[in-house]
Amino acid sequence: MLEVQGIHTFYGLSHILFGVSLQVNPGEVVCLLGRNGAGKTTTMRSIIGLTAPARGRILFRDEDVTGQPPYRLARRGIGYVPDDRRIFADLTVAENLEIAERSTNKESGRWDKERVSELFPVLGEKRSRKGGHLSGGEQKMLAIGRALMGNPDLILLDEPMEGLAPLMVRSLEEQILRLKATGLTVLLSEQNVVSAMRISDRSYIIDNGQICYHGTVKELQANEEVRKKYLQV
Amino acid sequence: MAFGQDLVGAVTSQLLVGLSRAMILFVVSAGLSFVLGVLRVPNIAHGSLYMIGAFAAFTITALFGQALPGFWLALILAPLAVAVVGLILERALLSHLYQREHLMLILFTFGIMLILNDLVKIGWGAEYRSIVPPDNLTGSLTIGDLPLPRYNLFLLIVGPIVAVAMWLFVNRTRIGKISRAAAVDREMVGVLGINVSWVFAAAFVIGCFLAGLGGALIAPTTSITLGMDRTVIMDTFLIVTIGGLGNIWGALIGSLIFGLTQSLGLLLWPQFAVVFPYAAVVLVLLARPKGLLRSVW
Ligand SMILES: Nc1ncnc2c1ncn2[C@@H]1O[C@H](COP(=O)(O)OP(=O)(O)O)[C@@H](O)[C@H]1O
Ligand SMILES: [Mg+2]
Repeated sequence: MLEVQGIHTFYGLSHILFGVSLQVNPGEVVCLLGRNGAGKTTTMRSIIGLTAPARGRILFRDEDVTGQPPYRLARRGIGYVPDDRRIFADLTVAENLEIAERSTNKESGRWDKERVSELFPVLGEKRSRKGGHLSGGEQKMLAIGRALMGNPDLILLDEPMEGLAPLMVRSLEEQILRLKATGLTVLLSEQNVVSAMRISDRSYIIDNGQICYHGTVKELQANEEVRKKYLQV
Repeated sequence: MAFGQDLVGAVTSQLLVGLSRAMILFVVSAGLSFVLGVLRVPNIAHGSLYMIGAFAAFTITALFGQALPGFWLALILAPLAVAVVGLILERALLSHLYQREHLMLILFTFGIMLILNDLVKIGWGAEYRSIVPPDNLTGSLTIGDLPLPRYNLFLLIVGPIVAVAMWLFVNRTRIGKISRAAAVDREMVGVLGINVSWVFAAAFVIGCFLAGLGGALIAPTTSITLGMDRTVIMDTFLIVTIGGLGNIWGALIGSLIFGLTQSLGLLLWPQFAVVFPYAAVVLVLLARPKGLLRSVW
């Protein structure tokens, strides 16, 4: 579904990603682990086209999409939930969802406001509340719901668990698994290794802008040395 | 007694003049503010687009007759013509410049202003033009003993209609909601699969439409001439600043302050009437440097 091939990404003159490669197959939940500043967000931003890589290629459904603007990638079926949520604070919850709604020719599983409220009931309850007046956790749900309204095939979740209370983390894990069950493919970046390993099929570890490990979650669980070295767990 | 009545009459008619002036200022500054809010472009050429609206109204009434249907057609077609000019400007020039810093955009739109002014000079010449509104909008309506100019009353209706229309557009239409979102975070709007470039084009075109509408509305009350863009661009920029950048209601309040202080100042101290609005601006900005209502910047 998604194939990142040796991308190099810069912010101005600072070289951040050094040949990052990763692959996500249809229906998988794949996590990108790494400590703060490792390059997870930059990888996500490169994929969705917010900071285009200077070298390397990004393939989505076997088509080269490198350098395309974000709106094109979104229309092709990539949803993006940024780590800082970026809810439209002046718009109501309902409006945040409405503007993200995009028609699709997919037969089943069309996302609309009602279906998003089923997944996240609190968004239904607070539909006329301004986005800026939600709690951090509610804004996360809204950001995910907003991405779903575009009916993506692949969703990029940048540190969705960050800052959530343990109970919320558990319920968000469940919701992500429910999304996976609908056939959605998920690329997840996380520092919360324990949580990410509970829901992922495969994992990549990024450090200093380079992928330094990849394998199934089972393999990672067995590999204490790698976990200690890069993840401190 | 007679003196008291005179005073009431004078105040009422100045109020009406001030309010109707405020309505035109509102129409123009709402457009300026909308563009400033959504695109973050301080469009110095906005006044020139207003002037083109007035000249276009002149030409349209000249073609179709001063009374019916000329004036009413002008009220619709002149803003549309300005909107088309806006669309061309946006697609051909502005759309390539949004990444630039504000100073560049100011210089650039200033350049557009100079070019538009020369085009107006080439197209319409430097003479003064004027139009008269249709019969049912000329003369006065006498209420009690007070003669109230019909055209001013008409402006009092148009202003609120524009305000309500803008409110509905911004809050009830999809593109209006998108433009509110794009005003704050255009990058994220793009991530939702929306081509922000066209949202900006639409917002700019609406701003230009309002400039053109303001020009068409003022046309029957003034002489249409080169240079009429200068005062309006200064006044509307001040209005938008005291109202809160990008805030449509702020533009309304700012316009009322501007229009009313000017017309009532005429009663108080006629020689210095023009100074009153600017003094009000200074007072407002001393009290609230970011404007009366919330700025979207
Ligand atoms: N806008 C930026 N400009 C310059 N450097 C940046 C910018 N954003 C992030 N960086 C740097 O890029 C590196 C990777 O950051 P990031 O991708 O956000 O890491 P992570 O998401 O894994 O915490 C860090 O060293 C960070 O300081
Ligand atoms: Mg990050």
